[in-house]
Amino acid sequence: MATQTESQYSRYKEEFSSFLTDTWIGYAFVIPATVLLAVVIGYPTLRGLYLAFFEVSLLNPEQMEFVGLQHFRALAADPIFKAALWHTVLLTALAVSFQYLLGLGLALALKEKVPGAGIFRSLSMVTWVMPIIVMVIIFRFMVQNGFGPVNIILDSLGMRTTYWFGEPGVAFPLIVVMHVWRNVPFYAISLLAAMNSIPKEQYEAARLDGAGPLERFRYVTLPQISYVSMIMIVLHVTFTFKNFDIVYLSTGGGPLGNTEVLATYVYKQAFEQYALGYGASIGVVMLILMLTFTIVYVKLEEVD
Amino acid sequence: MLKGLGVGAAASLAGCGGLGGGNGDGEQALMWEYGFPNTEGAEPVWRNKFESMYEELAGEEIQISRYSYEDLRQKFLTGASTGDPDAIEGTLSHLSEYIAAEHVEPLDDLADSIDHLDGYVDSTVEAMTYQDTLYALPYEGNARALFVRQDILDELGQDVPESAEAFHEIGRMINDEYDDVTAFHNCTKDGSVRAFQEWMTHIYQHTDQLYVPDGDGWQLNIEADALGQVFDNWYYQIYAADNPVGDPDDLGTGWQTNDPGYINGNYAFIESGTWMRNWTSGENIQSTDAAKDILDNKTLIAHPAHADGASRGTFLEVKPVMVNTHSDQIEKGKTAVEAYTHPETLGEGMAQDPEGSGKAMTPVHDDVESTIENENWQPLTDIFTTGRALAKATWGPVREEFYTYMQEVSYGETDPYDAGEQFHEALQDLESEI
Repeated sequence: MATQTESQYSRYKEEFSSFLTDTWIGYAFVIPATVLLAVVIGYPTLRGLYLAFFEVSLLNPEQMEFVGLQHFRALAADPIFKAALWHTVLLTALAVSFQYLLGLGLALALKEKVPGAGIFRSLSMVTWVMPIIVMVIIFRFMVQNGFGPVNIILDSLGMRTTYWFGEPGVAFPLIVVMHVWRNVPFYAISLLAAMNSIPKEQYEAARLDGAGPLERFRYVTLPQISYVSMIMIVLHVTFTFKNFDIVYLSTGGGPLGNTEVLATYVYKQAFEQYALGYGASIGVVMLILMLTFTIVYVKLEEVD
Repeated sequence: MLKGLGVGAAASLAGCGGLGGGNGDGEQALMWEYGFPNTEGAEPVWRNKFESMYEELAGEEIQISRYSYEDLRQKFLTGASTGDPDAIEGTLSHLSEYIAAEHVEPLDDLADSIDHLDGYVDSTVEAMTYQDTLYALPYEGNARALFVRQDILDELGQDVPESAEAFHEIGRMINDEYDDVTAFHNCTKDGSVRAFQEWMTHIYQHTDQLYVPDGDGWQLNIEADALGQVFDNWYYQIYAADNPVGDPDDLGTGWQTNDPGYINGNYAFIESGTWMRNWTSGENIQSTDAAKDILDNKTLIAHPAHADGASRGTFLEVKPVMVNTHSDQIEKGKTAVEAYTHPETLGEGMAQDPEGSGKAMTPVHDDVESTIENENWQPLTDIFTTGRALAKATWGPVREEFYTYMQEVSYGETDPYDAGEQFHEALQDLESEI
């Protein structure tokens, strides 16, 4: 009896010791990354949240005055902020929708092994890896008044030419086009990879059940690319929502504030008006909106 | 979000100090700059001369990091308190901001100890001084001038216009007579620093300084009507009037259209500076031969035209070299400033650097000879003397207000004189903020 108890105790001890060892090894692996993330992501985030409740100048960041929710009240009455928020939401919705739909269409076309698909796959990432400044220079050149290729074509068709980034009403759609141009191939490649992982037998079975191309897409393809779709959409919604470079380099937020987005407004508040606290409060609004979107979207995807 | 939070965090890092400064006494000094030209494989004469001068004065080498002016400013404003860099080069508006942020070290003792201080052009040293304290030494200066296509004026039998009215008249004449040349271009892009400088050029024709010191603050020093006149002459008449002097299809463009546009022969007038001198190749230039012909043979430099009741005056850019007051190696920083602004560096290095000779056309020191050889470019020296440097206010909020009203006038959304009134009120509101 004593031997049995001793043996049980020994087994528990071994298991506990093994658990502890394994766990601590796990912790040991995780801790460096956690500390790094805390420093690189956690600290700036918390600091930004903190600053949003203070009046603080970029030129004298040591002098901080607690103002509570004053910045958020000011944001509610700030017409430029409201316009920038609307532009940001509209830009994100349009850019991500077009990117997804065009990327999906392209992926379906590539899946059917259209001629040139191999070359496209090789070249497709060029737009995505291209530095944003290079992309903006190319687009600026393309719509340059007089000698830009777009204007040369329009002129040959007897249509109006101008510097289109300087045209109210056209500058904003052009920003959308730049986002779409940059990201569609990445969507296509990612969705194509997800489609290629679907077993062919499922399509065969659907065909035997009398499913046409649309049904096969709706009931076989779409459900099985939804996870990749979710990742792509969440990533690009956040990327587009906080994107600064594309707008700032191409229009600076103009003309007449037509392309002002939250990211450019944060920059102007922090680095031109020196209003760090107010800029941080805009950042907090962006954080809340993005977190809400991500949580809701991921939950909906799980339910689905 | 990260932009906003990054700004805050970076600023807080800058503000918290105590993170250790600089490289320690035993390490090389670190300098941030954007002044040395990108020589693209050719020998960087000026940079080499600076390095050897520093080595001669300090007995050791110096580290140099290059950033664009925008990055230079942001990184220094948010990170100067860490102690890096020891010395920094920049623009006058940067100097104002760094003084306000208490990031730059007074250099009066350095000025007393160096031999070459007396040789600087007075106005350039004044531009480095705030409330009787010297915060930087100048190394380069240029004044904004009117670039004129002399050949076009000759063909039309016209003289260089001095008044804004004559400028508009000749401009409209050029637009009528030439299909492939637009009379004038200036920058109207939101956020364009160049647009702000062009506007200041015309402001300085109406007043010595837009803001003057008033106790510890600033007082606006211009009438609303003058602001309206500037908007009318240089934005409304250029882009929004019935028969515009410029091309409304150029609205929203910046220097990328302005300077190469002139060099490529698209414009008859622009307001620009010495950097144009050797700009005859590169991605924006359509034909090197044509560019050389325009700059060497067809260009005349003149004072920017001014409105009735205004006088000659222009935007003067003087480039400062400063020392980070948070550095652990302030003396090394001062040595870097001395070496960078030394007449030998400027004379032998900057002037002989084939890519940098435009910078030496209007030198800031008596011991440095001007590199102007072309007779048509000689007026740059005279224009330089009429230039006015930015007051030591923090100009960011003024710039932001300017872009709004400038675009409203240029796009014909607001009457220029109404915009002048509104802008005047906005600028008065900024008196306590800048």
